[in-house]
Amino acid sequence: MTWEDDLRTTAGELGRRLDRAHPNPPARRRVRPIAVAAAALILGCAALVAWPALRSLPSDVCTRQDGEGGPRDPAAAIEAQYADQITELQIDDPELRREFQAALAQVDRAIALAKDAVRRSPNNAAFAELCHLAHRAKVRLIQAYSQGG
Amino acid sequence: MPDTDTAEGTRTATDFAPLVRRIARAMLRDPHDAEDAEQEALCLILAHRADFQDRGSLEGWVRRIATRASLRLLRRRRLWSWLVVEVPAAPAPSADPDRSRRLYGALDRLSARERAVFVLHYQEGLPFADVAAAVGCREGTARNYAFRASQKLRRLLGDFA
Repeated sequence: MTWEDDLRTTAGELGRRLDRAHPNPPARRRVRPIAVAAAALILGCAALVAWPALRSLPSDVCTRQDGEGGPRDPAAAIEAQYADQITELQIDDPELRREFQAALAQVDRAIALAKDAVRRSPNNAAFAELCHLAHRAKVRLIQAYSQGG
Repeated sequence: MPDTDTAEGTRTATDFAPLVRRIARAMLRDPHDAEDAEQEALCLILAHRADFQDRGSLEGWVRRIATRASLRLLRRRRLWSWLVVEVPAAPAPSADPDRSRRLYGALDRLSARERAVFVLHYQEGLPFADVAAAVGCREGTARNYAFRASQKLRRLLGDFA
């Protein structure tokens, strides 16, 4: 009997055996550790690539992520430039104090609107300039009333 | 007519279920995979029995469906083998004296088509023309696959004869 004939005979035996049952027990499947490591590596690389792109998003997305008053809040950065010039002012004359407070409320309202515009469009130079103007107006208002109105 | 077709399909699936099961078990090392391939093939037989209009052998048609369903699943498993490892639920015997068991283990080392050709030609005893029709290749290609499978098995099994 040749090797080929023996192979046919054994294959026939295998066929009869397979008619009765599967020769192997069921196997459990689990993910290879190398595949997990590869997936983690790919995710890490994707995050590295995507991070600068996310940071450089120009408009609302950036503002929403940073939040009002956050470290990259453009309105807060403008406000910080005038922080040392905006001081508490004590005015003894009641009439003058009311006049000052009314004017200050108007300027504060203008500042709030300008800050909101800057947060919505941080790359818009006109809004930033408007915010600076509003802050400078407040500084001048305080200076004017500190010198006696 | 649909009822007749369904009854015909059910009868065909029932009659040829052992053949389908044997081919699926020979092609797939995992019993659950073999069951999946068997079920897929039987569903296809049930669904398309009406399309088979006695052109050629009904058994050949069934064998072709079973072989191709098993081949599809085998290729899918091998494609994902880099990602998923199979851990046998029960430890296999270290030195199985059974020759057919040794042969079955060696079949895992063949390519999907070599395995299909080997199963159909050596195990099922089909001529190469029928093997080629079942696998979906030319007769000469089937002969080539059978030769390569035989050579590989000879190397793997050594003093098998």
